[in-house]
Amino acid sequence: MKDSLIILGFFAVGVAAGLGSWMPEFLCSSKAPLYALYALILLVAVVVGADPRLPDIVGLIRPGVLLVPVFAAVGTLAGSVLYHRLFGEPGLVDTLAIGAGLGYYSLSSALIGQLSGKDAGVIALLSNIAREVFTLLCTPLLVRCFGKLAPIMSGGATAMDTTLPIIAKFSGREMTLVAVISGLVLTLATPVLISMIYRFL
Amino acid sequence: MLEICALLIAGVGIGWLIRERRSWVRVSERLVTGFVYLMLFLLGLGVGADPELIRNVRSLGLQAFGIAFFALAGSIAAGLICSRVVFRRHER
Repeated sequence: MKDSLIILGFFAVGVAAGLGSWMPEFLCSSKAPLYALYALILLVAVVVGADPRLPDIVGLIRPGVLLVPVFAAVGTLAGSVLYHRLFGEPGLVDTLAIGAGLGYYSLSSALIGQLSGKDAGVIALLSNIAREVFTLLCTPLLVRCFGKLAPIMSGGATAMDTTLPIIAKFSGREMTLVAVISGLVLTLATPVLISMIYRFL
Repeated sequence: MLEICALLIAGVGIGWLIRERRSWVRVSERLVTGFVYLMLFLLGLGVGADPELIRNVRSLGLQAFGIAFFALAGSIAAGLICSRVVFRRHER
């Protein structure tokens, strides 16, 4: 929760600086933000590859468990399509990409901001933060109403780190590993899905 | 798209190779945090400099929460199906 607020703080400081039209030339004209984004994606993958839990996780992966992140992604995208059908704005491609952020708001908003536009980037930021906050606040209720898998689904990519403690507490220790595997797969799937959506749709 | 897949595969490989060097891993984690701050600051900068975007911020916020609501509902519904398909065998 604290980290989300710090990140929103940086965003807010950026907005304030932009409003005061403090816009360094090299940032808007050059490809610097794109390269920074590539560096971020590479580093995210480095941290995943160096995760000390990785050897245990890989050893325990079963095909059935891998269906959990698949269902989470498919359900999210289906919900996003339904939203677009009902409300029309933003466009289908942007709506799908924003959904495909899967709760990973920092990476998805930066990526969508680069690949599509700033407005879609902002929606991705707010929408995926809402997803993480909802999971942090509502996990006890989700487990009671929809079962132990529900917070892993709603947490999406965050189920391996920020929302893991609360999921472990209310879904039980036996679901912890499922949460980590699902979150890990979705963390890596987020940039792939978003770039695929903009490439092929 | 291909460059992003290549970056991810290369990154996981590099991470795997340096996993014993915890100080390098800690540096990578700090760099991730730093780059996240930078990217969000840049996104904010672009937003602040765009008067039309600022005018539409209310509508963008509503869309964000709408998409979040539908995405959450879709994923939780998928979870109900998934627990029938995947976990029923284990619970018996």
